[in-house]
Amino acid sequence: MGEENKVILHGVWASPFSKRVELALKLKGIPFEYVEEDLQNKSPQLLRCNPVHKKIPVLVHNGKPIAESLVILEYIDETWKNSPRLLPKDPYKRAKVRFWTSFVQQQLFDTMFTVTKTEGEAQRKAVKEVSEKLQVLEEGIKELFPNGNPCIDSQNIGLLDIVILSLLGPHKVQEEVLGIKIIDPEKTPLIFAWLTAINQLTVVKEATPPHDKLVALLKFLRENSLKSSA
Amino acid sequence: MAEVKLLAAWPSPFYYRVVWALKLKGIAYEFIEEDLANKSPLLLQYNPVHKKIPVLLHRGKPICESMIILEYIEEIWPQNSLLPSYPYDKAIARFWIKFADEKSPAIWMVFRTNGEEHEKAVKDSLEMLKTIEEHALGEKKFFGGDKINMVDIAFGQLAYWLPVIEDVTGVKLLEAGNFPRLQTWIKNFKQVPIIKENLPDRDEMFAFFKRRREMTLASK
Repeated sequence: MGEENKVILHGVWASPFSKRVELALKLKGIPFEYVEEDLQNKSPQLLRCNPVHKKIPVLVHNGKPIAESLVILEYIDETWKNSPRLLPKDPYKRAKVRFWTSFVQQQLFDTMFTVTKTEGEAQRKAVKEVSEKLQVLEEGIKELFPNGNPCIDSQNIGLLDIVILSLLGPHKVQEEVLGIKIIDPEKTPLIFAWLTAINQLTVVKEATPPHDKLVALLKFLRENSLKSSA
Repeated sequence: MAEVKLLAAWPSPFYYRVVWALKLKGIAYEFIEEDLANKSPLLLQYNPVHKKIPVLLHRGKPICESMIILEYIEEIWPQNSLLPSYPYDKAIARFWIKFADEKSPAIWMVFRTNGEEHEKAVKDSLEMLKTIEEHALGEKKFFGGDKINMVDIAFGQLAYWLPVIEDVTGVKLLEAGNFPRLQTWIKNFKQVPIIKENLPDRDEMFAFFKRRREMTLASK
């Protein structure tokens, strides 16, 4: 890899935000060096590259750091203009993609975290909220998939696909650990079909850790949360 | 029929973000005032998901969320550019826009709450201001350099709405901390002709927010 285009990704394998950037780089065939960070012991490079938030992921391109996964994804798309284009060309369609990305990020992410980290009444409330938000999303994405059939391939996959994958791609893992149905093919058939299509891409499969590893991780995180809130 | 319409409500800072962007680019638009206590069928039709203002209508198609609207405006009307053209600088701008959107709600929590919640909101607000002071401005006059850009617009709430929140609540955030760069930016931002000509009346805003705070606290 020449020095003219050196790309480093500081990430954490378990982070959905890190996963987004990793996937975008792999989908576009961009060679990069991956640095797995220990969040209990952050590297000096990470702290230097993201002094404001001290978080991953951080992309460093030719020595220049960029933080915030969605900002990084737009940067990747503008810098490496090869297929897949992560955002459509048409400004109105771009606004739609940004709108739904923002919706998933702001309305679904935190509530899903609550579902995985709580039990009893708090969890029931969060599950209900996720279900309602998914209904809104189901309705909203109809205009993105007008023939009702999400056909995602490695050439047309985009920003919103990557973001929904990072949250709900592992829904089978979430359902196994929590014993709750998250994506019901009868209630949200379009979202179910969409996630299934994305999960089948080779690049996605290769970037996804094994099922058992994800189950173990989620169990661990959930147990820690329940213990600390008890 | 106007090609560009803006559904919005005074004195929302998100409404003014869009006004500033349209005016800076010289785009004519029709303002459609919404009564947020009695939302119109139009608003519910064009923003069914959030039912919020502002909504931009361009040739009848709705765009929602103020910063998404601004990115759309920038792409359709590239004159008097509000974002850097070089991808890295654009990414840095977007980083700060995201920061503004994620952290600014703290000042509204200062406005809306009392007690413990209020104390936390004050702490969060001061932290935000400190970060902007230390990391965001540098030695530049504006976040956009010599001229304002989308980042300045995103932080616009701090220049004009925050001082009103301070007056209404009596919590002097800008003075309490040491924010010379930010204070200078606020002064300069309000002097930019398009901004100066497009700000809500200060006294009317004060009265409006004073009433709102009283109502909000009474309902707790």
